[in-house]
Amino acid sequence: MTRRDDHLDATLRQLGAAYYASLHGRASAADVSRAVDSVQQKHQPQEEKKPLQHGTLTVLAVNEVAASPWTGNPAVMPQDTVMLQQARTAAEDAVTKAAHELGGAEQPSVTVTARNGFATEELINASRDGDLLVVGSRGQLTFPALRLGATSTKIAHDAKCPLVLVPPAS
Amino acid sequence: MSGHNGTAPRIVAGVDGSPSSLAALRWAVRQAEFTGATVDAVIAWHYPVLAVPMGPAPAAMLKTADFEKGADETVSDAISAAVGTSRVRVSAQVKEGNAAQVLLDAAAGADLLVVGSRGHGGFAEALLGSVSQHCVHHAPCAVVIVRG
Repeated sequence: MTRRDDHLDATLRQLGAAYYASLHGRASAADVSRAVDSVQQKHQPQEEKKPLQHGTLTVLAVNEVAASPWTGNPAVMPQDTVMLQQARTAAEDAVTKAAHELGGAEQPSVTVTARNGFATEELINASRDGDLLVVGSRGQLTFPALRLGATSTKIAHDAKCPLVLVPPAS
Repeated sequence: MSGHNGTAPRIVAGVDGSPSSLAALRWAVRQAEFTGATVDAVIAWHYPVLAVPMGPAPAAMLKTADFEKGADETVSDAISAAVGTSRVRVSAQVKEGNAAQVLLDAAAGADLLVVGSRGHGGFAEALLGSVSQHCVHHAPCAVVIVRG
């Protein structure tokens, strides 16, 4: 059928996790932690000593920028340099925290990437090359009654690879 | 992904016979191989809504067994297609009721709920089926949406 269909039988190689940081809110470290957990694949059955093929996890931190009033494209402002750095640092901290919480002798390979842009666009683009995309189901902006954040809703419709939506820890 | 109380993790996959749901089941089996999980392949069936001149058709007019048997065959076919040579334990669950509700009930206490992005219904341009959408909004556990 499609390239993706073949991937269902292939080992998960490239996983992406969204760590969305902006002025407004941050995805919880738990999302990253779940993503790292699924890369570690700790629960390999004992009787089946197949060598584990680890995936690599890319954590994508997006600094949500303003849209240009003329073109609608992302408009990077001078202050975004600082905010991008903050987003990166926050994501790196989350990865460190997640890896610490999960313990485990073998640390998975995690790369943190930070980008200026629109979170939905960046994540959907990232899903083109990934085998799995992991996002939290709610951002911080949502009303309590909303079960799925706006960014996650858009990604749920348009992601190009299998998508994991992780609900907040209750 | 971790099992509750140290038991093997449990993955629930929704099956309706569509290519998308088959992709979801295959994904679930693959993930179960990695994590040592068991897979529950869940299919829901319901009485069709029939209107006869006297009003809604009484259930007795319909052969219950046919719907249930059809669902049972669909899920068995999907399981044999998805499992292949894998040694993952996959059990079929055939339940009567609304598909989204049946899946959510099955997902209670599970570690992962896997659904296809779209099932049988809906417009061609609808990228996320109504059942998947409902599950995403209400599931107590992480939900995986598989394109197929």
